[in-house]
This record gives sequence, C-alpha cells and structure tokens, in this order.
Amino acid sequence: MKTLGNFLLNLLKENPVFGLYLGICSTLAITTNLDNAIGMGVSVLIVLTISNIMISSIRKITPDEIRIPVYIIVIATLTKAIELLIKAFAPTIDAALGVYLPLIVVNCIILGRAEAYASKNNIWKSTLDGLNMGLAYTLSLAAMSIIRQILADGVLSLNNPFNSTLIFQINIIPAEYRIAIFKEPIGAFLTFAFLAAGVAAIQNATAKKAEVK
Amino acid sequence: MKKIISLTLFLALASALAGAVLAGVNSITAPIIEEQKIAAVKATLKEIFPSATEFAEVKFEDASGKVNNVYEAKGQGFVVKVTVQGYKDIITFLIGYDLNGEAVGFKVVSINDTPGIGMRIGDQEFADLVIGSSVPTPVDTLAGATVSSAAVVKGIEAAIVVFKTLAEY
Amino acid sequence: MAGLITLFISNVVISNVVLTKFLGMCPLLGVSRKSSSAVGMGLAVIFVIVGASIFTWTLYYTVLVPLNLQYMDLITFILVIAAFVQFVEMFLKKYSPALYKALGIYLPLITTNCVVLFVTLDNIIQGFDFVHMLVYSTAVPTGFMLVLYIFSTIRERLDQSNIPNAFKGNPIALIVAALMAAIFTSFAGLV
Repeated sequence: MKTLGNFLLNLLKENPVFGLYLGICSTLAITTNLDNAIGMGVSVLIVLTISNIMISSIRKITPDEIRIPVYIIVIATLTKAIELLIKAFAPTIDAALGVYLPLIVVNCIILGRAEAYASKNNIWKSTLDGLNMGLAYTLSLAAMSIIRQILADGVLSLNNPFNSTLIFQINIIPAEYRIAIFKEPIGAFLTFAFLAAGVAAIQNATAKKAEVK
Repeated sequence: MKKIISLTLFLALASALAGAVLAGVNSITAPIIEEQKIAAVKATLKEIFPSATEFAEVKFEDASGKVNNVYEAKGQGFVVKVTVQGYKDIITFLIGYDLNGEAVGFKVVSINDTPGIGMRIGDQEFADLVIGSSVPTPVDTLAGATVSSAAVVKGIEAAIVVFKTLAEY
Repeated sequence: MAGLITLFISNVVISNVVLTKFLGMCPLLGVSRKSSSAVGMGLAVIFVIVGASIFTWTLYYTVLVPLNLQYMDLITFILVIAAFVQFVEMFLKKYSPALYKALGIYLPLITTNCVVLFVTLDNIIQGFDFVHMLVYSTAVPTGFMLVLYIFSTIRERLDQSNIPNAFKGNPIALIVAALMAAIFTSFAGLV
C-alpha cells in the first residue's frame, strides 16, 4: 500500500504536464473526452518508450554535435509510423486527434527525455523511464478528460477505437445541468489551471513537511 | 573538413534508415487508408441517392473556392461537397441534386459551431428546409443562426453554379 | 483579394492559434513575463514560420509529391525547420548580438514550437496555393505575437499582485488565458 502511495505522490510531484508544463498543447486541445485522452496518451507512450530505447542504443555512436537532429529524425520517424498505423487501424482516433497526432514530434516531453535521460542511461533504464513518463502523461490527460467530459457532456464513456464499438457509458449529469463551456477553450484553460494549482499545492505541502523534518 | 563530411554522412545514413522504415510502414498502411476514404464517402453518397449503383468522382470548375469534390450518381444526379466558414469554425456539407434540379439530400459532414445556435445547421430542421428546394432558388437562412446559415446558403449557391455546369441545366 | 484579407484577419483573431488551437503554449508560459522580449520573440517566430513555410511548401510540391514520398513530410519539414532556426541563430549572433542575447535559449526552442510545425503541415492539409500559403503563414504567427504581447503586459502587472501560493506563476497565467480565450470568441462573425 505504501508503494502505491509513493507512486501516486511521485506522479503528482514530478508530473510532466501539471508540474513541468511539458506537452501542454495537446493536453488542452484534445482532452474533451476519455477516448481522445487514451488515444493520445498511448500514442505518446509508445513513441516515447521506443524513442528512448533507440536513442539509448545509439548513444555511444552518435556524434555529439549532431545529436539533436538525430534525435529529431528518430522521433519524427516513430511519430509518422504511429500516425500511419492509427490512420489505417483506428481511424476514429485519427479523426479525433487530427493535426495533434503528427505534432507529437514536437511534444517537449519526448525530446526532453531523450536529451536528459535516454542519451545518458542504458537501454533497460531508458525503457522504464519512457513507460513511466508515458503512463504519467496518459493519466494526466485522462484526469483532464474525465473532468471536462463529465461537466460538459454529463457522461463518461469509452469506445473501442479499432472497431468503433462502445465499451461503457455512464450517465452522470442530466442535460439541464451540463456546463457546455468545458468543451470550449475557456473550459480547457480553467480545468488545466485548477489541476496545476492543485499539484502545486501538494508540492508546496510536501516541501514544507520536508523542511519541518 | 573531414569532421563535417563524417557528420553529414551520419545524418544522411540516419535519414535513409528512417526513410526505409517509413516506406515499409507506408506500404502496409497506404492501401488500407485508401479503402477507408472511399468507403466513408460512399456510405454518405448512398444516403442521398439510395437507389444509385455507381458513384464516380468528376472534375469540375468552381470560381468560389468553396466546392471540394463533386460525385456523380450515375443516371440520377450529382452530390457536391462544400466547405464554408461558419460562425466559429468551418462547416463541410454534402448536397445532392437530381437531374430535375431538385435538392434530394443534405448532409453535414463536419461542423463545430456554437451549441444550440450554429449547430442547428446539422439538425434535421435545416436539412428539411434544403431538401425539396430546387435550382435556382436558394434556401432561407435560419433565424438566430444567421451567420452560419448565411454562409451555408452561399455554399449552396456555389454548389448550384457547379451543378448547372455539369448537368447542363 | 477579399478572400486573402479574410484569411488574414480570421487567423489572427477569430481562429487564433494560441487561444483556439492551444499551440505555442510553452513559449507563452515561458517567455511572456516581459513585454519587450515578447515582441522580439514574436517577430522571430513570424520570420521563421514564413521562411520555413516557403521552403517546406516548395519542397512538398516539387520533390515529395512527384516522387510519391508524401509520408516523408514530417521528417523533412522538421529538419528544414531545425536548419532554418540554426541559420537564423547564426545570422542574429553576427548581425544583432543584442537581440540574440535577449532571446537567449528561447531562440533554438523555436524549433520545437508547435506553431511552426503546425503551420507548415497545415499549408499542405488546407491545400493552399503559394499566395494563400504566404498570407496564412504570416497571419498565424501574427496572432501568436498579438496574444504573447497582451499576455506579457498582463503578467507584468500580475507579478506585483497578491496571489494565493498554489496559483502563483503558471496556474494564474492559465486563468488569464481562459479569460482571453473567452474574450477573443467575441471576434467571431467579424468577417
């Protein structure tokens, strides 16, 4: 139980989205429902993990002066490959994510981890780091989407992207009480602001505790 | 000098590898993606002309820039795909005219407008206004959603122009 | 001509790239604390986007399409952008060291600025011809600079106000962004 608590705490303290403000463009744009969040989150997780693995494997032979262009080539190739695969096998996700799918290549998280971690650590550690960050990212997206979807649509639902079937749908808020602006940009910014403030509050609280100790 | 050459070679090699990987993925996915595009459009075309058996995309000339594609339902009429700027975002719709110049179908493909106002363009109410209207009479705008519906009406007018040239009406 | 003007205005204010498409958030939250650096950053981004758009658009239609290599668009576009930013860096270092120092680390970061890659990709997605591409690639970063500048002036005042601890810094900036987004929606229907 303690490790779960620690895991959750780490998720909040070093949260790439609400703590470090990386990859926020996609977060604000696509988190209108849970399907999008999981679609984008899993895509980023796959690109991030494979990119970490590849960059870690070539870290000893990559000349230092051109490492950034080389990382970019790796990440761009992976992003395009995922984009093509999603277009072919999960077209509803492609339609929902739109241009934000190819924009994964400029998601600061991926290049950031490549430069800060994968280029300096072995393949196993880099794989774990990719999975860890990818998971944290996906959960953060899911948190935003759940809030926005429940407030704006009043339902929580999940679709199977590979054959467009509904997995579950729970009606939570009746139609008259739904707050449509949470689908709009203003709602996106507000939800993000409050989640970020929440994470900051937790970080401040734990920092204070550490000081007192 | 030697350094620059070796660096450039490394980058070129990396790019070539990347290209090879993508060429591979592309060869697997491209045919599937093509099929999906045609299937998606065909389904909507069938909604407008349910008894048509053959559909084909035809060339057209359009000065307004609003018309994206024109499909012919062989022997029955034409479906025009139009994109216009609504109140908030673009609206893409299909309008089908039979060979008598009557609008037999109206389907909104993509719309992202203000809920309850501009979004009414996608409702059956507006489609009912359009269907049954005949060339050359355009459609009335929706009260309360004038910006979006006026844009759609302009798009319909552009579609009519293209339809006239193709159907020699 | 009217179409081009509409294209320009609608992309600066109505479909503003930051407030409706959420792109360019990293520099928005990072650079926007002083209004003078906001303008310098904005102008640099306009220059990079117009230049990169011309190169990538031409590359796409003269090389990638004829060779049926459209799937290489992502890699080639991002490499063109990286090279162009590198070139701008070297140019500024030599001819305007003051601006180079002022922009600091944010100059190379323009490469990963979502707005740049977005515009180069969108030029193709929207099927623009050369003239429309030029207008669009000027309009979008102009909208970015507009928001960046307004934002920086507000933040200069915010930094001197009393804000609850949890909201200090970025969260309160996001609330400002929320209000700006709401205000900018009133531009809809302008053209």
